[in-house]
Amino acid sequence: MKDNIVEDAEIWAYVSKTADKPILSKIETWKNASDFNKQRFNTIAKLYETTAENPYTESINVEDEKAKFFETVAPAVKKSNRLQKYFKYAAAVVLFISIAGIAYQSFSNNTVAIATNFREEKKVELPDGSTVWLNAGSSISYKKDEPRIIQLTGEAFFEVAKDKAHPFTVETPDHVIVKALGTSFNVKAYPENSYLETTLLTGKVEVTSGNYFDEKIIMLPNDNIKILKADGIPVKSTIQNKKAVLMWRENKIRFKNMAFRDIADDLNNQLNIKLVFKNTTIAESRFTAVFDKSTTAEDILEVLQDTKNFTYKLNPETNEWMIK
Amino acid sequence: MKSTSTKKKIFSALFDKHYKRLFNYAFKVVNDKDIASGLVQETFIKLWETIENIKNDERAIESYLITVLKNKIIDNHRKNKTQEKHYDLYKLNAEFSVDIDNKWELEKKIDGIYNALHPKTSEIFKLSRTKGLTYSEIAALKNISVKTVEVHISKALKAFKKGLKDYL
Repeated sequence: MKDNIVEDAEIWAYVSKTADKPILSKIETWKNASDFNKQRFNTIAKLYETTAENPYTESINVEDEKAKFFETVAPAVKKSNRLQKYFKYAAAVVLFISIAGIAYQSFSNNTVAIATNFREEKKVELPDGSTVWLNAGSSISYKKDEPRIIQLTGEAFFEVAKDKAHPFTVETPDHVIVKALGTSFNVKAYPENSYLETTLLTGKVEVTSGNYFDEKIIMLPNDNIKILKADGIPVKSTIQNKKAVLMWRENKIRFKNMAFRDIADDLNNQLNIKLVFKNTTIAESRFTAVFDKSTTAEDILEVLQDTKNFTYKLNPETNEWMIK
Repeated sequence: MKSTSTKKKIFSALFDKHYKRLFNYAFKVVNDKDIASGLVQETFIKLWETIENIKNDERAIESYLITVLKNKIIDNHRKNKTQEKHYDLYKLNAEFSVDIDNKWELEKKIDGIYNALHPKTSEIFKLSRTKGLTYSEIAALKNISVKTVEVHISKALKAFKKGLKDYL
């Protein structure tokens, strides 16, 4: 190559730092010799930047990603080996005995039901090794021979023991079904609430509903699905704060940007506090607050009154609080 | 409703065809390997849930994947931004959205240029660009002269300068 003519390939070698000494010094002097040179140099330099490849393109394995994907959308059913099965049943016997203390039986002898009172929460070990925390005013039941099929009314958090051969399902009174493999998730389904809600913390679950929608929803960690009973449309969002979702386990009741009307349902469900709205505007106004479940109705209303303009009065005959 | 095994076959082919480009695109915007691969996973999951409702046509599926991924990238961005409390979130989101459209266009153009080049030229240029080999190293590797390497590089540069002129 002639000394006075600069080839694109030489500029490229320079900007990609692969040039040898002669080219290096040639380009050094050339690039600042004129504005035209400078511009030509900058174009190639920019081209070098623009064609940069993602540093992970080589390391990412499409087959691994594919496998991960199929494991989420169409999990393989694995047969557990004999030994595992034996241990599972052994554990089931022990836990059945321990559960007998807190469970009372209803419906038939075959069904186990566990319930909580107002202002109370309870931790329950299930026969399959799963753990359930029940929020106030809630109940679960299951058949003895099907301990991984749970009927839930109210709110509960589940930590499911892994058993891929037997999916763990939670069914609400509205036939919303949450099916899990090995995972932890929260389901809120008080019959009085205007909505149903489930939040997934770890693992994966599948949500179906005979009543509300046809599709299967697959949830990933931190997903929240809320179904308004009025329209039955599931709305997916992502939670920012895991701890807040489970605050109820620490004897707290929490409202985040929630309509007073929905708060009233929770107060009724969990604390047996009954509110009646005489004014729709106040029923729609939103509050964010956390209370201990032991807080009295009067104290709760007094705190809420600080931020929004309303009055309250107890009707001693019906034990209802009138909100205006 | 297709059977799961048929669906799996379709998705396996879709992964082979689109995964890398979608991942590269997401990575360019979010600059984090785990977030990028997570968003692409979610995009395919969304397609899995809705594929029955989409026209059975390669281009329709491809543009669906791109649109869903783009929205996921924007959601992800918005989520991070709401935490920052920016003075004008709307403006910021709009700018971001234009910016990622451009990134996708760019990604497609670069792919297109590589494909339009002679395979040998494309290969040699990639050895220089992504492997950072010197011309003499490439010459030794491909058993050609340094001069020929320079000719290939010049050809590739010419094509890129022309094809990417709006970006340079």
